Amino acid sequence: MNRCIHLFFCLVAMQCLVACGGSSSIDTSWETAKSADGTYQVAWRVVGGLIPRADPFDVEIRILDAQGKPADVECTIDAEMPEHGHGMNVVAEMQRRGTGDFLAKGMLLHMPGRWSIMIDATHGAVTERAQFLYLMP
Amino acid sequence: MMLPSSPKRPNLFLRIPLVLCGVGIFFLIAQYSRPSEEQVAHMRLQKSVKLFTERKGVAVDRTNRWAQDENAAALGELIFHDARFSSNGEVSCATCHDPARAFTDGAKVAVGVGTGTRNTPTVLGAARQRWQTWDGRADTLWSQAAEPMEAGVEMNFDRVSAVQLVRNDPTLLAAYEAAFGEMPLGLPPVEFAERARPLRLDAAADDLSAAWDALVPSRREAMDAVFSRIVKSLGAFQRTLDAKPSRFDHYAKAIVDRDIEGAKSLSESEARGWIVFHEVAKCDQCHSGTEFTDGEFHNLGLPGADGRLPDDRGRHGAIPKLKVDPFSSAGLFSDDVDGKQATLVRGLKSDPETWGQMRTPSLRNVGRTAPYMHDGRFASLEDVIQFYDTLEGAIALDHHREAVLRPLGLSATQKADLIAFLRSLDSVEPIAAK
Repeated sequence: MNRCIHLFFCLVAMQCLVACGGSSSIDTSWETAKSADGTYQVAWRVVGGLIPRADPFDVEIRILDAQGKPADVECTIDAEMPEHGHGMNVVAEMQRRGTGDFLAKGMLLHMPGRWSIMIDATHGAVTERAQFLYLMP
Repeated sequence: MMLPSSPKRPNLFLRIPLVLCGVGIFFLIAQYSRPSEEQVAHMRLQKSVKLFTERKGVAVDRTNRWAQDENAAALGELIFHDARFSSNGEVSCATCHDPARAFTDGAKVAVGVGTGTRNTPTVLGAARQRWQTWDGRADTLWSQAAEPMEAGVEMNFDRVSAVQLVRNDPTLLAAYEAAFGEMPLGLPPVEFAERARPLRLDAAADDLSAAWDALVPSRREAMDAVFSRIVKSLGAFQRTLDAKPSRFDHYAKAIVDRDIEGAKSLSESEARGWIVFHEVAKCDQCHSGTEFTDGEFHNLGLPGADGRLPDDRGRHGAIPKLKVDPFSSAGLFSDDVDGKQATLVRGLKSDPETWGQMRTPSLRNVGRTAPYMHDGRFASLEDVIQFYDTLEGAIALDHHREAVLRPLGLSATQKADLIAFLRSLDSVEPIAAK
């Protein structure tokens, strides 16, 4: 009986793993990374959950300082295709919603392929960058 | 109380064959459940064409509140075919966007009142595009309609005459009022006949622009209001000119549905052509999505005259105009200045690398819209494929060059298949000819 229960839970766990993998869309949860010098924890997610192919989308961004508190910084976001030598054709409109809390409107990844998404946090004259890779299917 | 006795286990000589049988059955199941190469290929094909079974209707255009208004479309259709909206009375929208030629003119470059420098793109499916014209200097169907009417080499008409023509023609006036209600206050008398139009950003000042500047502001505002509705009616009409489904769409659906008969919508050559398009030449790096375009701008390295750098500024010249255009989605006459499209317009970058960039055209109905490229330099699809195959004559665009562009080196069969596939993108249903 115990073996049956273990087997059942194993199957359920495997099913969950299968369901989580293989998606061609970006994860709906927050993507996080440290900025280059490790000063900030940068998190972003797409409004609506998915990066649409060749259609505009908005991005929520949250930036925390080393103490885990909302960082008092300015923020910009951009994206480029390293293999193609070009980036987006637009500059996203950045709205500050609160300390360390931003909304970037009008992002547009217009081609399939590898995109590097760059989020810059600037305090005074110092800018730190967090980078994320995204493969547009 | 007695404990239940443990079950008696089979002896070793019985257990070994049982285990071996189990292992054997496992491998048999694994073998037979593994898809064959043919099944794998079909699954890949299904995945690659699935997108085309999800093609939706034309999206709502929030920048034009009359975009789906039948009365507005009816007025737009009248104006689209009316050559009186040109300075010589001989050029209508339909002169270049001829319904009998899939809404193109078949000419290398457009010929209106004068001769242009660019090939006429089709209107079919234009409502699905983010940017209009080769350089995207308009971002909605209705704002696109504003420019040709007043451009010197196209219809060379003027704003005052356009408004007065609608006011003085009973049929046009009735159609206008059915869509938009009464004319606004502030217009000049109906007999006012002075030609006048605002100065375009890329045009030299002339008598017409001077006459426009001489009008009192309230009169100009009233003229602008009527003119914006005239072009919105044209937008509403052109929205109805969608690119209808092609044989490839039927094929894609059949492949996804595992409909063997339906999959015969394409010949073997055409079906192979899709593979060349998608997997070999990877044309869908730019000609992507259900409309076979990424909707954005690229520089293919097509040389200008005598092999020099391109002299057509393309996207680089369009962006400054678009940003100040009162008829853009972000402009004064838009009905959705806070919408996504307006946000994009405000965020457009005018980088040096936009020099010479042209919009990726949709490939729907591509078999009907020769000649090709922004300047109509290639007479046939064969010429186009030959260019991509060798990139012969292409000029190096230093580090800004599209890295995806490399000579394809296709075989003769692959080229023929690719062209056959491209022709399968023509709409099956006949295009309305007026």
